[in-house]
Amino acid sequence: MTMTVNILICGVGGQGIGLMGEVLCETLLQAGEMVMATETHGVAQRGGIVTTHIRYGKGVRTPKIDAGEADFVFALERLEGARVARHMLRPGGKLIYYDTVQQPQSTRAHGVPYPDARVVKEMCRARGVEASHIFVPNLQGPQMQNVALLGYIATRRLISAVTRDSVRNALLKLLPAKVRAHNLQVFDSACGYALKAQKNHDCQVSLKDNADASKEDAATIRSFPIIAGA
Amino acid sequence: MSVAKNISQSESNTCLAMGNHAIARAIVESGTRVITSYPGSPTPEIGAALTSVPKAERSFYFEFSVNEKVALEIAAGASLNGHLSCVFFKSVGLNVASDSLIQQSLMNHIGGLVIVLGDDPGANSSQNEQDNRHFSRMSYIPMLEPASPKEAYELYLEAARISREKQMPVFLRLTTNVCHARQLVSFGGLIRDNYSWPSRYHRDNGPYFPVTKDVFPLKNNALKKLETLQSTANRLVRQYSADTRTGLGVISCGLPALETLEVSEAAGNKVSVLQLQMTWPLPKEAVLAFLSAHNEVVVIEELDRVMETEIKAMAFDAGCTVCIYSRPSSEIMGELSRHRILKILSSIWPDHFSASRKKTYETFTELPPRPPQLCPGCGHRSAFFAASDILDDTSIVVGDIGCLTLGALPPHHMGDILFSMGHSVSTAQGLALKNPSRNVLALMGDGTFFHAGIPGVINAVANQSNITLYLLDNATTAMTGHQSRPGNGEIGEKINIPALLKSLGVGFIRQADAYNQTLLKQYLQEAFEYDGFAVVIARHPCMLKLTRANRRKDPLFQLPPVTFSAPPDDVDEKRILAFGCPSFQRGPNGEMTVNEEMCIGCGACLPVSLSGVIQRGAPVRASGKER
Ligand code: SF4
Ligand code: SF4
Repeated sequence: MTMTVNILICGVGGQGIGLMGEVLCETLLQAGEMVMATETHGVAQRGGIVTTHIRYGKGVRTPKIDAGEADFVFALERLEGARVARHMLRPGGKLIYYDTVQQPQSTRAHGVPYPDARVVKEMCRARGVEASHIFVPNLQGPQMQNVALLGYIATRRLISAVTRDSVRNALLKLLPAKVRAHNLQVFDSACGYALKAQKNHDCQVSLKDNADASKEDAATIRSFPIIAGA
Repeated sequence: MSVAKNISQSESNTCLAMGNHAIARAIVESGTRVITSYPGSPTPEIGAALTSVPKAERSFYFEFSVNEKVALEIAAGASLNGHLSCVFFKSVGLNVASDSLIQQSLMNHIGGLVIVLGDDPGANSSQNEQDNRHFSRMSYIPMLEPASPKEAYELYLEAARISREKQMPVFLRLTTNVCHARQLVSFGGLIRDNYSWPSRYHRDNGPYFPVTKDVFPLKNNALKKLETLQSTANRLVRQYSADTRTGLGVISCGLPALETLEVSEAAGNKVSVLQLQMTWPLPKEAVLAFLSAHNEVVVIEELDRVMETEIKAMAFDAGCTVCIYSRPSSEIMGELSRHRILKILSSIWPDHFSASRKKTYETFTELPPRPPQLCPGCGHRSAFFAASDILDDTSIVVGDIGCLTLGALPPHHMGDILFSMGHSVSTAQGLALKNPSRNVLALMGDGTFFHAGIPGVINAVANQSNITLYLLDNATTAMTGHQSRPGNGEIGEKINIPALLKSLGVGFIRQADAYNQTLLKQYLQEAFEYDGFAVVIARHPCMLKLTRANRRKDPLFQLPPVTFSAPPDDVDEKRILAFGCPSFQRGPNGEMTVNEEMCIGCGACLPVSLSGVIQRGAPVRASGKER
């Protein structure tokens, strides 16, 4: 059995976090992993923060991921990706997000700065974690962003059980017939996109032991200038 | 496989089940016949799972009742008639149900009654984080507490068994991260029977009428039944022994028990863990045996020191010399986690546990917070916007529960006081007593009006209270996932709210679509001037529900987003921000833009701009522009 791996999926209520979680759990189960998961959503159906926690591997008895121990943060919105990565990733962990923007109230009303993609990247580098994102042009409707992000995750082979085929199969199993074809099409084109991106920025992932990695946790804490707008 | 299939399939099967779904399967498997509920996080998925089973295939009756007390009474009544019954609701729901709940242990439940509670440590979706374990003590009702979906399934079956055997009600207490957790659970087979719904009620099974001298034999009976549970309680324990003989032990229950175990195992498994699955009455033998086998023990439980107090008393009575530590008082609030448990253990046993002080990264880079907000197009927003023009600085706005609770947040600031569901009218009445100079406005949703609002309305009418009820009617119970409410479907289909108000003697009733700002403002103004209890109804269907329904029909359904014909002037910009539709966002230079991914094209914002710069978009939609 694999050592413990902690995956956090996050976004804004209504973005389809639930499906992403179910697909990832399904691929892990198919690979024979012992999976535990949980969801937090409170009143989040109304545009608040939603997260799904997935834990698998040796020694996992409970579903909640604690601060600083996530191996991966998969986010469907930039600010939430940055927020959850900052708080939850272990040193050396990875943030992968779909680059869309939903400005919170304070940004809209009071111009409180919303980080742009470069700021997120710099913040992550200083924090000792890696950030990357995907944006698929001409995606028909925001309902497909979750599937696009799955395409990116599968193509980058971040998790051995999560491959293009296993995700495809999980989507086939979990999606209602009506939306299946369209989702698979988006998934495939996102995979193609990710492949292209990978050529410039190849990234092979090794899961470090948490204890080991904490030695690197000496990154100085400093603030970054944040650029307003998106 | 769909949830419905996992719940209703006859064969045994294994699936990745959510705690709530595991409960639903156990309900069906145990032969529970009558299930009632009032929706509330973290439990509504139990109802969603049950209703996903087609009506013709159901071996049970299910309803979302008008409130928790009604739901409990229906389930209890069905149990007195011989049917195994179950009622489920959220933590604070028990307060509503409590008047009849307290009586249940006095009743001889020939059918059996399981009360499933979804407690909410951390107040993720509730107005408090009350510890409902106290209720089990007060009501003499035994309590089981699962730690995972698998245990939720097993312990529901156990609760049903105990309830039927002892003919007494049984609590099954879940917490948020047991309800929402997922793990592989193996379900047993279903025995399909043609249940003939026999009516077995007979007064000889009682008495069921506790008055005067009858109360005491019944109470005595309840206490005796509790005493007979010791062998069950002692069976429902799980003990995980330490690898090394440190003499240290933890007694725990629910999810924190497994979290403690995981923490201990990660630190070399130096502590034994005793997990109690029946947490009232406590298993005396098992607890005393554990205490005397250890030198030092900590009780790790979420929220109040309920078990700790009782276990200490037990040790004292038995003359046990074990040292029982208390959790630091900082740890009696909020949801526990492995980190918090490690912190507790390391503060007590620093030789065995070290909580490396986790760095907090909150100050790392400033990021704007994201409070929840009303959906794009929500009628409540329009209703709040109209009211904000009428209210002045001296007005008092009493909030209530539902999506409209979010009105208290910026930019609306609608709702200063919040007690409980349906409190607003009566609380407003109190605020308005001998207070003629200030306008008092009570907010309430339609679901809440039916749930607990009507008595307050009757009281306000009877006492000629000079307040205004602003009833925001979205024709559903939106906050908890769009369950039906009386008169659901077409507004006023079954129970017509204005007609009901009229029959209660309300002298001023006006209603308008929430998007109609002119009418709403006029009505509110008149209501404030009216001498007596006035009701203004702002109606608009829940737009989330509507949008979802449209997208089910056509996955790409989208009305064209609104656009700006020119940049809004200062006055308009202020108004648009006060309106606060989340689709209005800032562009790279701080200019106002419309987020096309979010805008549903509802047009609620059209009257917000005085100069008319907001315009309906062209009907062709271009999305996902390259950045
Ligand atoms: S769910 Fe419905 S009622 Fe609730 S905020 Fe959204 S649109 Fe409004
Ligand atoms: S039309 Fe768009 S911007 Fe206007 S209120 Fe509706 S969702 Fe908001």
